[in-house]
Amino acid sequence: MRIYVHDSEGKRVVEADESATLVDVTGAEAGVKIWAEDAAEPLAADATVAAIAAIGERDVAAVHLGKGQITVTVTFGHETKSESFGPGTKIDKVLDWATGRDGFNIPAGDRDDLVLRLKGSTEPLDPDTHIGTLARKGDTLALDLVPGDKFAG
Amino acid sequence: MEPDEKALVEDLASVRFLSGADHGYWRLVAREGILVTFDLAAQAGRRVGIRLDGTGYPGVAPTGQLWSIADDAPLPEDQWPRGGRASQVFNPDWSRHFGGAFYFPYDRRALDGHDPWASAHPGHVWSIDKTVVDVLYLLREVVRTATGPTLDPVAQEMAS
Repeated sequence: MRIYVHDSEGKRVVEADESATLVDVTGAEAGVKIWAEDAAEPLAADATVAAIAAIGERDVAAVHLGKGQITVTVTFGHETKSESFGPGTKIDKVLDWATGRDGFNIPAGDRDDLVLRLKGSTEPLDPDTHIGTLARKGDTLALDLVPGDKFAG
Repeated sequence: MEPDEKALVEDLASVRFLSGADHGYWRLVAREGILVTFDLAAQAGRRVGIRLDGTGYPGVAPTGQLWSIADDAPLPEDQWPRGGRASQVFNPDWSRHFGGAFYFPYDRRALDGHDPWASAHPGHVWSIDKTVVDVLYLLREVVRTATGPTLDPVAQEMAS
């Protein structure tokens, strides 16, 4: 199985058998927990590759090496909302939360026009980026929910 | 292999590109030299074919056009994505004069004459550090705002 290993620095790819332990595959150091992508809780310390769900029907999975949950604060206009997520949560999933009923409850037809950016930044964020990478070694992350760029003129 | 093709091939093998493909955001359909065809995931299971021309890549931005995967030909205008930001980026009135180019700052034909975009959209300024993956992510963002029509139904069936 192909496994994307994300951490506070970025991501890399490893190939591993399903019987291998994730600690061996990822090289996780003591005190670092292994989180499946988009999971709210870490995997068991002795979890094997077989324990993580594949992405769709592909023989591929992703994990994150991190310490704990990240508190994400999203600002939309003058309003701010916060929620805690596992560090392996994709920015795409945070966008779903921010635009959904538990976030700013954006009407369905308007949600796809909105994107997330690091607070005060105009740089786009890859939707498969893990929030634990964006938070670096911290446990908080501040984002803006803004309309995507419109190119006119 | 020319430098532009070599750079393109390297970026198509990058972890960032592979991750996007493995997450189902896009699929590499074919490559002939510096011409690369992809299909992108839009909303509601729709797929959008695109073709990029990486001449001079990455020193200059690619140029692109909507592409019918089934016919391996430019997508007819009546099938172009519409609605949301798609109507601006895929604008037939402008694009038909520029080989179907995308009206955004990651298309070299659109950049010509649009210097103000650099200050208006600092997050989307083409530079040597940008890659084909940045183009695909921006296109994905745009096609997800489209509300119609159902695009390239044959390709959609092939992808499902």
